[in-house]
Amino acid sequence: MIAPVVLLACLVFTSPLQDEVVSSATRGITGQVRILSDGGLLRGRPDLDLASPLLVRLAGYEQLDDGRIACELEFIGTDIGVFDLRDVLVFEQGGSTASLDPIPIEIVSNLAVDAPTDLVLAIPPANTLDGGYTVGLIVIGFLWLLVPLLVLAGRMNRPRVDPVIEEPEETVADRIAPLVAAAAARDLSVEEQGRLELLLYAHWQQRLELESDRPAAVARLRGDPEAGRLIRAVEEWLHAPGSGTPTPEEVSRLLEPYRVPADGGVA
Amino acid sequence: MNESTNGITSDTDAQGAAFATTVAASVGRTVVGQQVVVERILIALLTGGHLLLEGVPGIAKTLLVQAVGRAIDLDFKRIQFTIDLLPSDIVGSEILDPKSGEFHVHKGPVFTNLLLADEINRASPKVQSALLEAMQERKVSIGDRTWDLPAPFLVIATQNPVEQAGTFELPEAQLDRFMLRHRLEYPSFEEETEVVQRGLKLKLKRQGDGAVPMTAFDAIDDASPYQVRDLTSAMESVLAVHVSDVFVRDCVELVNLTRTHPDLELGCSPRAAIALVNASRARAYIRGRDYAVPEDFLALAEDVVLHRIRLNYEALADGRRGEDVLAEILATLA
Repeated sequence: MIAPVVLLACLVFTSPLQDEVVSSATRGITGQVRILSDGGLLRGRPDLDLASPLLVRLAGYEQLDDGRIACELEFIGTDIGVFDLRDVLVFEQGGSTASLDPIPIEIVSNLAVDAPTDLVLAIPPANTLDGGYTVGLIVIGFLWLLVPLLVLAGRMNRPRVDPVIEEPEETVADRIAPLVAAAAARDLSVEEQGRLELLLYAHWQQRLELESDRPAAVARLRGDPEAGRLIRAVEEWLHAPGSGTPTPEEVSRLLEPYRVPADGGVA
Repeated sequence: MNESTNGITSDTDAQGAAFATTVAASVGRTVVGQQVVVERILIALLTGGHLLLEGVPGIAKTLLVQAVGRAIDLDFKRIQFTIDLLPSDIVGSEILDPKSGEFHVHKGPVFTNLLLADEINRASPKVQSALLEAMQERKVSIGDRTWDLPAPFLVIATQNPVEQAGTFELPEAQLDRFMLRHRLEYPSFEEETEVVQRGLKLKLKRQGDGAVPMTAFDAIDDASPYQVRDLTSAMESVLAVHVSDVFVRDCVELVNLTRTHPDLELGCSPRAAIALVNASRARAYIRGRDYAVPEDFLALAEDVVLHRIRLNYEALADGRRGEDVLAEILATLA
């Protein structure tokens, strides 16, 4: 409710009335008041500054027919409370404004009641360098030099790590070998049979240096005199109906070309 | 291995190879080259699957399908899919007879043995769904009655891979209904020369006093070396082709690898593994074997797998293609 009242007071010119607040304004916001002076033109006291609770200036005036002057004054309160505007006014020609009727104005605040009322908090910063600027720069410089020294020291103290020797990637021959060995000793599972056959395709694909396209390569190697014969034999073993379960010796003979020779490579 | 004059190779001179080579030879009298497509059509016919052909216009897709149909004496119909096509234009509808006041069923072109759905992606999804339902269930509903489609029933749909404006791309779930998707290539220089030379030999077709120039369609051999019952017998033989546990393991392994590949957002469904095994069986039969070998599924992998996988965003951004990913999977398959 205070704000509309203050706003109204700011916008409407008022005549001074005895012992009543003639105008009010929010602290820090300009308020206006119209004073009829018969003692001459009014103006703000020249000695007022930001430390004063109230600042005032003459915004305009009008010479009336009855000889009085209507002074339009603007004021800004820096502290809350009710003030007599006469205290901050002087006549242009000199003389005390005590002859005027009291001009009470009110400066209100939108802040909470217990909020600080000072506009400027003159609290000094908690810590200042106070002459320690040079010392601060020296400390920062020292820390800056310390970082690379610490890194260097950390590297020198790091335990020596032996270089990792990467295991060579398993070749097709490496993958075929255990399956061929297993086939000679026991019946391979369906999974192992499938892997063995596809690895044999890959083996021949590499050996005959066929294209990387697997379907095209398989079609070509089935037509190759040597690879085709061996591949078809394996296909018959694994896929033909009624071929029966071959003995380990038969399987061993079938896979003999893929057995790892003494020098380590697939035959 | 024997190599026949029409391009279809066989391991032995068995019954399946004879069937395939005879059909291919009959088709070859009309269509130059395209042996792989003939083989794929035969695989689809022998397994009851459906085939999606992708290729630019003018490479004898319609002629080829019609020639295959004629070689086995199959009833053939063709639908040109357009945006304003309605489901009833395909499956048929009930028509009111004003004289009797009763509805009569008018069966649509789907009631045939061999249906060529030309440019299937030009029709609205509703029409596509109607056809794909018919493909799946092999029966259609008109009015209150459900009608079985003739047997055999094979849909060969075509798509133009270059003109995509104003088309409705088939979603993966519907593409999955097609057992195979094959991409047709342009004929080789020699084949194209032969096509042109055959065209030069075409004469006029007289109708009364008038005449029109003959087309390649008029040159399709009227004689059918095989009948539908021969196809049925061949289908039974395909079912007798042996599939080993090792072969099944290989196919399932391949399909599983499509589900875990880092470049793929969508892998193959179990339907793909079934299609791979069945198509391999038919290929083995055509090649004159009574058992399937890995070469069969390796040769068919591209046609079975590629339309069932979807690359993820990162792979597409890297310019990867489905073919590259499949080649990678096949190379690592072991």
